[in-house]
Amino acid sequence: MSEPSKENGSLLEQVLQRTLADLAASGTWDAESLESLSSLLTISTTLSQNSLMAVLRSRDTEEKG
Amino acid sequence: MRFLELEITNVRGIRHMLLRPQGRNLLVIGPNGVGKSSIVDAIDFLLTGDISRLTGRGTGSISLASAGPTLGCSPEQAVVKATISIEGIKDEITFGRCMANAKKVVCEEKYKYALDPLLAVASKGQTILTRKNILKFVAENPSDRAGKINDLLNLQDIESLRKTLVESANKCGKEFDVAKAIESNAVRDFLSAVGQSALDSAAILDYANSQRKVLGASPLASLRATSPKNGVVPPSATPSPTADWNEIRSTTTSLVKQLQSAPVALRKYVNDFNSVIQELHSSDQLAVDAKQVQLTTIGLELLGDDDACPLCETDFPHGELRTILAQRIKNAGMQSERLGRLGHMSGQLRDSVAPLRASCERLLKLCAPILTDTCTANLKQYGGQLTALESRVAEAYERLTCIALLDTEAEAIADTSELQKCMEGLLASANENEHVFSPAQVAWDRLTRLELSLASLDNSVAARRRATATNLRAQSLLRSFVTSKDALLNELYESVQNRFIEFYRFLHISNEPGFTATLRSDNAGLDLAVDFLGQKMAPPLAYHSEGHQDSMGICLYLALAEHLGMGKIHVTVLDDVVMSVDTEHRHALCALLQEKFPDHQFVITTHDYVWAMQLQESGTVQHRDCKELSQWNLDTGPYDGPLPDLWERIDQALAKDDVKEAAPLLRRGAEEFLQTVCDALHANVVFKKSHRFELGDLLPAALGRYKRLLNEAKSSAISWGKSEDASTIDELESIRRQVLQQVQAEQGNVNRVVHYNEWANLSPEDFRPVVAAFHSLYDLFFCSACGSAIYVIPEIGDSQSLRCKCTEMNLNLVRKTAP
Repeated sequence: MSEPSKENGSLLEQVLQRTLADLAASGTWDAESLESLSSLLTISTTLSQNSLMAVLRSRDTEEKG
Repeated sequence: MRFLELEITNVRGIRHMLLRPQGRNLLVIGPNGVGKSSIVDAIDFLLTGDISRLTGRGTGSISLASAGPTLGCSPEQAVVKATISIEGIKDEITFGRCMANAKKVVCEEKYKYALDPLLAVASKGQTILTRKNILKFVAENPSDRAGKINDLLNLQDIESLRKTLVESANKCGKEFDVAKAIESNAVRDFLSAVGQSALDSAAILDYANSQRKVLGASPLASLRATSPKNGVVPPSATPSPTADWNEIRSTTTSLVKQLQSAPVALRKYVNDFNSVIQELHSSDQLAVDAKQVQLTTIGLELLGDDDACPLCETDFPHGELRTILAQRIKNAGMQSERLGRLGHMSGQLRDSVAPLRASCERLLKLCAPILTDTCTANLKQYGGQLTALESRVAEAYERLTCIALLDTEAEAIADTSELQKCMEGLLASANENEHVFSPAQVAWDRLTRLELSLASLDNSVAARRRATATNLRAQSLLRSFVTSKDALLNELYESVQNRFIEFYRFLHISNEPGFTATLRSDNAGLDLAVDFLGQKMAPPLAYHSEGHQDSMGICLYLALAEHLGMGKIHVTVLDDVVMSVDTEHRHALCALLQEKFPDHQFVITTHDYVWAMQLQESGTVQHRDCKELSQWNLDTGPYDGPLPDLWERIDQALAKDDVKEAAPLLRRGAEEFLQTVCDALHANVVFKKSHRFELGDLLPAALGRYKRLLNEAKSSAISWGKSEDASTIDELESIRRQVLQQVQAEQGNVNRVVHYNEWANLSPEDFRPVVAAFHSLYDLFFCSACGSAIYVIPEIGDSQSLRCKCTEMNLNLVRKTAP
């Protein structure tokens, strides 16, 4: 994992900000999971698939019904 | 950041070199093999800690340590240092690198805060454009172009994140499919356990309560709240039965029924399948078409919800790939129809074989303790034949070949007499043992099965729900990310695209003034389409010549260059790049660099002296910032010195009494110069299809035009009542006449140079006055204050003014109109 590089961080950050805002508006993610996702994406630019899968599969992701 | 000084020691064939551009453009000129690219390598090393030419394809075992230092020098001796200016910082900053520790930047501690962010940007190595790389931006396919431009724009992190999200979404999609399949099986097992055909809660509850009633337990209100066996007392233990006769009877009855009709139907299906295969292979082309349809069909089946190609994972707009594949299958006509029939037949075959085989296997399992050896062997053999047939059907359908079934094998499948005898024996045994189990035991067993299958169903439903939710999130995350990325990148690309169009129009104003282009992110690709003379938008390779593609490469790179430095690096190295521009557009390129990049420092290398002259005449590079390399050898590296101007070089030749060298310099230089003058003054030169304008074509045109312009300027000055301007113009006219007289006095010798090329016969004494006359001629067309060449504005349309860059000369050519 590497720290986000300053010089392109701005564009990547903009993409992530738009993505998170879009997800929040879509309602497919609850606030707590979105927070976890946001932390994960901003901590590292070389995101590991395992970390992402852990967030996607977090317990509260179970479909209600 | 701009270079003030650059000192190179023992790098790539250079022993020691000091360049002092002082933040201005720098021109390095010299023939091939004298070390121009070594300067580029040194800058590359200083900014990145590496030399890109020494890495990549074909470089093999070459390393920076082995090939970076000049031959005979150690890495410790190979050093590049620079003094730079940084915007917003008053001090000049000196830093350097040594090849012994390439990653370490040596600089005063107090400047690291300013230098580190710059080098973080510069370390991506995007400040250098080489001739080799020009076309890579225009000639690549969209996916490779996206990769190269993303590299250049340093967007790898975004692309890497996108790939991770695609992989995760695909993984979640597959997990969802698996969970769905497991849930379907669990539903089927559950329905089989309760003897129902649909998930009807009331009917299932009735079933459970009816079994509980047999066992003397009270009915349940719901199966959800508790176990179906809750409160039930197990029946008293009885001797363990040897077999489940009820199930044996039902399975045997079912198998007997199947054996009466299935073998005949199987044979028919096999024959039908094989005839369609023969139709399919009636020609080689039909066979190839069929394979293609089959492949496309598989692609369509594998297409997930993420709209990515299942083969290469390229993302497509929603539904687009599905539509393309469906259309291809539709287009394949008869072959699609045949493949559809084959698919249907192979399905029928599978559906006929599978229950038979499953019944055989089930009986073997159920009746293991009671079956005779003969029955066991018959069931195994028949089941084995059916398994083999299933494999052959699957293989034949996959490979589009006939189902290979020998007559003996077909007969064996059709001959079920022995097996039927076994079944009759089994049924007789089942009837004899019908009452082995008590109703309470049967009810207990049914409740047990219900309990187990219900738990399995609950687990599978929960797992499928989790997979559904996870998949929804993964897909929405990918979708939102890609949408956001594309929107932002398209904003960026639009800005690059607009600058690219602006630059290209600037270069090609004469032949493509309405040029336009589109640069669009398309999933993982980056489409570049350019206008061809207002007729069609197409990739650059489609209609434009190589020269125009080179122009596009440079324009696109320069458009990108504005983003590359991120506002921090104001240096771009153009390594032999200008050679890619045809002579017609070189003046425009000079103007482009000056007008569009006034605060940018270019380091330009070239081996073309005419180009060097044009760069100087246009003011793109000042004479003092021209460095000429020559006479490279192993011991000393290149000889470097200031580039002598034309007159110095002619003088040097005449000093050696070498008219053979001096005369062509004068002629070639004058032709080049007068082309610039004729262009700048809009002079009428007799058209030549070859575009090879010689001194004889250019000299009279330039002088004649200049005279007419002075006349027009004088008339204008008089019409406006500007007597001072009229006097100035008189002086200019007087100088013009003197120069003309000087040229005419040497007319004979001038003509030899101009028309006959008899320079070899001139003595140095004869030639020197000719040189002096031409020198005076040159001065006629330059401003004595700013040194720039004079020109007419506007570029197109009626001439309105004759001027120089500093406007010291600015003569109005438009007469005052009568009121």
